[in-house]
Amino acid sequence: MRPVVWNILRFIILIPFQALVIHKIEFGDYSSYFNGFLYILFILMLPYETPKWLTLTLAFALGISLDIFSGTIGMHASACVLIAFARPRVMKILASNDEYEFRNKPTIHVMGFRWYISYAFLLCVLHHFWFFLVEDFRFTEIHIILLKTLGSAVFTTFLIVLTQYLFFSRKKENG
Amino acid sequence: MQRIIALLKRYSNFLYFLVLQALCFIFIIGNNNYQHAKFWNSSSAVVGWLNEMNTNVSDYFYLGQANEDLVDENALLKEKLFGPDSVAYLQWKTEIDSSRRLKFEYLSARVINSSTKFEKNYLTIDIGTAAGVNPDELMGVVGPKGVVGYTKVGSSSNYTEVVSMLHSNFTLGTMHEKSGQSGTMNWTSSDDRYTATIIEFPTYTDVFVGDTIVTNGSSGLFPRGELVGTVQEIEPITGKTTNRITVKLATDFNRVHHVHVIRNNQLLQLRQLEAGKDNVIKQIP
Repeated sequence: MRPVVWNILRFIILIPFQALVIHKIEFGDYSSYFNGFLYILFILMLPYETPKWLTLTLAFALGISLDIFSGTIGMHASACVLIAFARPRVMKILASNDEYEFRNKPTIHVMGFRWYISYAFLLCVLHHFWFFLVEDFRFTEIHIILLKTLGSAVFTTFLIVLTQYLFFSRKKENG
Repeated sequence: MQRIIALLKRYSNFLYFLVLQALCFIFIIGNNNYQHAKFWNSSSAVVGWLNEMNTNVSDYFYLGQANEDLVDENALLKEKLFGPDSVAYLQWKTEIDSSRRLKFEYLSARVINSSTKFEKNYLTIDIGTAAGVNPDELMGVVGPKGVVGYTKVGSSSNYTEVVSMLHSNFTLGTMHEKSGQSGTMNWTSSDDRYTATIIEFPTYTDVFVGDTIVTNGSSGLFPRGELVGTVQEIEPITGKTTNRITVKLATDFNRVHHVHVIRNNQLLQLRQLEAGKDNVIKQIP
């Protein structure tokens, strides 16, 4: 199937999965420090050649869809648009560190474990930091925001890498 | 001119990014003001339906717990009704007004979605305007154990979004049951999901750990005396004649499955009276 179809499918599956499953994962009293936001995998997996305006529009649509579920209208959208904007830059920064070819599919199998985990973690940190900052709307609690960002980014990166190995095989076309 | 166009073209993506961010922030700020939240909430039909499907499955796992809570609540109500103090009579006197109309009505509802781990937490319940929820006014919501929150304006015909007590904008008029001293309760950033704080409580009132905190009924959303929680910690504030009281909430927000929405049939009168309008008399049927 064509990549467009896979991307649409991912969008449709990730939003309810995030809202109905991932949001309900609890770690007892420390739940607020480990929020998984697996849904940003959609932005991470957009083909490299997607036009920037389209990436931004899709990120906005993705964020708003989740916002409607969780009653946080605008917050997820804002964070998503931010990482959609930052994605090409993050890719460029990583390119200078590694031997790196522009390939169309940013998956763990195509790009390698090390590249992918730094790519995912950087964007997670950016997304989560922005989200928690906007959610809190004050700068007085910055240490709590940073702790939340770190804990949640580790958890989200884990979920993303896990999803990569579980659902995206080396051979299948579903990238 | 050509230069300007070239410049715009070069930064078109950045400009588009800024436009989208601005849009997001208009939504965010609009959502904080509950008047504008009408169209954007999880009570919309599709999302409500999806959440309900989800709850239809997960409800079975909590049947035991929900049953236990309801049995406890029944026991408490019976105690109140037939107990030695015959609270039922007192309640009847205070809650039924002179025109013999019921002042507070309780609409029962099921919680189909809830969160507890964010700064702003909400619940979605499965009744809406069709069942008597007023989409233009806030309404109090109580669970089997105590106060849960209040409805957001703009419920759809079958779903309503509820602002949980675990919400950074939440405010509730509360009262120390023993002394009758009022205090405003908030969910501050130092609170976790089990507590809330009365920030300024006068030191001249004797408060002890374990004392009961109830609603004071000032907003008209709740009747006077709905259970809120118990005093967990009393912290004097230096240089002020007030204490900071941490309240252990009676409701466990991870286990709220059935709630009641409180309809105050005299809210309109209260609002008009408070707004200083003098046509209140005409409104009484």
